[in-house]
Amino acid sequence: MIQEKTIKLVFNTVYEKMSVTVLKGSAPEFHCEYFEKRRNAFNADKIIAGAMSSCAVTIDDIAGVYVVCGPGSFTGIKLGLSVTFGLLCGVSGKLKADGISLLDYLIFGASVPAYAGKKVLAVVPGVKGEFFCKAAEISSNGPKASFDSVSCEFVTSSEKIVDDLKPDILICEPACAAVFEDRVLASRYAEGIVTVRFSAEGVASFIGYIEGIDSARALPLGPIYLKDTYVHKPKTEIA
Amino acid sequence: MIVLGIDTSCDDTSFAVLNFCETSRRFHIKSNIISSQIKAHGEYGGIVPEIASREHLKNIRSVYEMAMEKSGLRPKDIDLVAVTAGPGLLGSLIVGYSFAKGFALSAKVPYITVDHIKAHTAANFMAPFEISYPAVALTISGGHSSLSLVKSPFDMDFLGGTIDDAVGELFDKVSRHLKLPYPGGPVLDKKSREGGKNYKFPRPLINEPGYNFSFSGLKTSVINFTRKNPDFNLADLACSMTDSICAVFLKKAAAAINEFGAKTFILSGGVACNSMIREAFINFGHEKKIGVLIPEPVLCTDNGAMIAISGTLRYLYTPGKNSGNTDVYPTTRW
Repeated sequence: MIQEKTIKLVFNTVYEKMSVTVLKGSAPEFHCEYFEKRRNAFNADKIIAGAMSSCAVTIDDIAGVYVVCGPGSFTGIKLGLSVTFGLLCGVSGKLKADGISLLDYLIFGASVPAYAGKKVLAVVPGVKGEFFCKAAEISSNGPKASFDSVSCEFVTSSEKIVDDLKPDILICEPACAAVFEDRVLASRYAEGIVTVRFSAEGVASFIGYIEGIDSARALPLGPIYLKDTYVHKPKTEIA
Repeated sequence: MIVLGIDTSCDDTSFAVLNFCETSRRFHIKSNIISSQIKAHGEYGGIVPEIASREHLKNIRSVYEMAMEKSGLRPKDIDLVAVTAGPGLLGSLIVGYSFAKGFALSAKVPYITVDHIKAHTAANFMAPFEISYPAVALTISGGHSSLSLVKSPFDMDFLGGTIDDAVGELFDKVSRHLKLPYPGGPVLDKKSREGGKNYKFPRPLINEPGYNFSFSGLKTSVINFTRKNPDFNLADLACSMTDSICAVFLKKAAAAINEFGAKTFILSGGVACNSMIREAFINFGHEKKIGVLIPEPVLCTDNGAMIAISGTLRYLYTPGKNSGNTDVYPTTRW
């Protein structure tokens, strides 16, 4: 886990909106969000460089990188991890990096007294109508106690969420429009969708929580896909 | 100048470290590591793009580390990063491209994007200024069949390419139909050495003007032949099919050489490993009294060394190199 030196970079590319956050200690120094269809890979380095430049820091000042490893867009996951691997290799191990789960971030964001005792389901939409999820029961004793009840990540449909899982509250990032556009979810959770923004303050708070209280939320640098896109062997006969 | 070359355009993850001596203007390969995904795609009989990109992500760090270790250099020794930005599989390209951007940012070195097809030709440019120009270059691989006019190591004009299947696709699809192991090209090549040109297959576009190729019809013809003649001899089939391919390539290459007064012929790409095709072009060079360059097999298939060579030449010698055209978005077509 990244500690000691104080400047950290947090990089999120797992949905269409890419964001870069620079943290100094536990405070957010800079946060930018970027969205341009199919241009994230092209601009990733420029946005990171711009963020560092805005904070008057160089790569040598950065103690570590946190990258969102998923779940979400498969291309976005690969993009974020590849850039991070490149950053690490370019300085030959002087930089440390950890992964974070977007679902953990959402559950952390909803771990507030107002939702104590509620069954929550953090959701990130996939591109084919599926939802990547993680369930938890929010505790009045803070996020650590909420994470004690957390489930594994899984993939499901909106019908199963409504009919089988029946959480009290759905949590999602406001940029994940597919959650709000899903008719089944909208019919059941018209008022019960809580949005947790991937914001500067939220990121700073979550990273502070990981470093100070719950190091289990710092993940190895690997993709969280949750789904094979090619589970069936194709026909090999040529017509 | 020490250059890191990265290629993740298809199903091979490759990193190479090259030294370019600006005095002798020669390249020296310090390391060239290629990690193949044949096992991962074997059961599907062809490349599955999503699997390819996931494998790249899984392998990219270890392949980089192997390349650096073998070169005996450290990241701070790298002066330039060259990476394939197309053509290729988009998901796969993004992995190498994003890695290159991250590396360049943290190592504080420039990076340059490279056209994969031109880079195949550049695999012959270990001493690029000692080649007689103009040259005609044929790049043949699983994804490409293209003929180019090479005016200098960094100035190439596209003359023509395939209008349907690439020649490597022809080998792969025929071998898949025949239920041969994947990849089928090397198997058919081995078989062709044991057979004769006893079957007659079409030679598509051979008498058409221009420099385009078409291999879809030849593929269908070979497959139909095997259905009508279930007792066919595999060695004869492989030999006859490759002979048809060679005939088309030789005719088009000869026409381009005559039209442009080329002094050299350059063969490259994964299918340039095919022994019958290599031999045909070596004999062609003797007959036409023209220099023929064919890289050793390890530089024919996708590799980081060719990317490093192409990127270095583009970076050092292309006019307007600093005008912002060094970064091209990953693309399935360049």
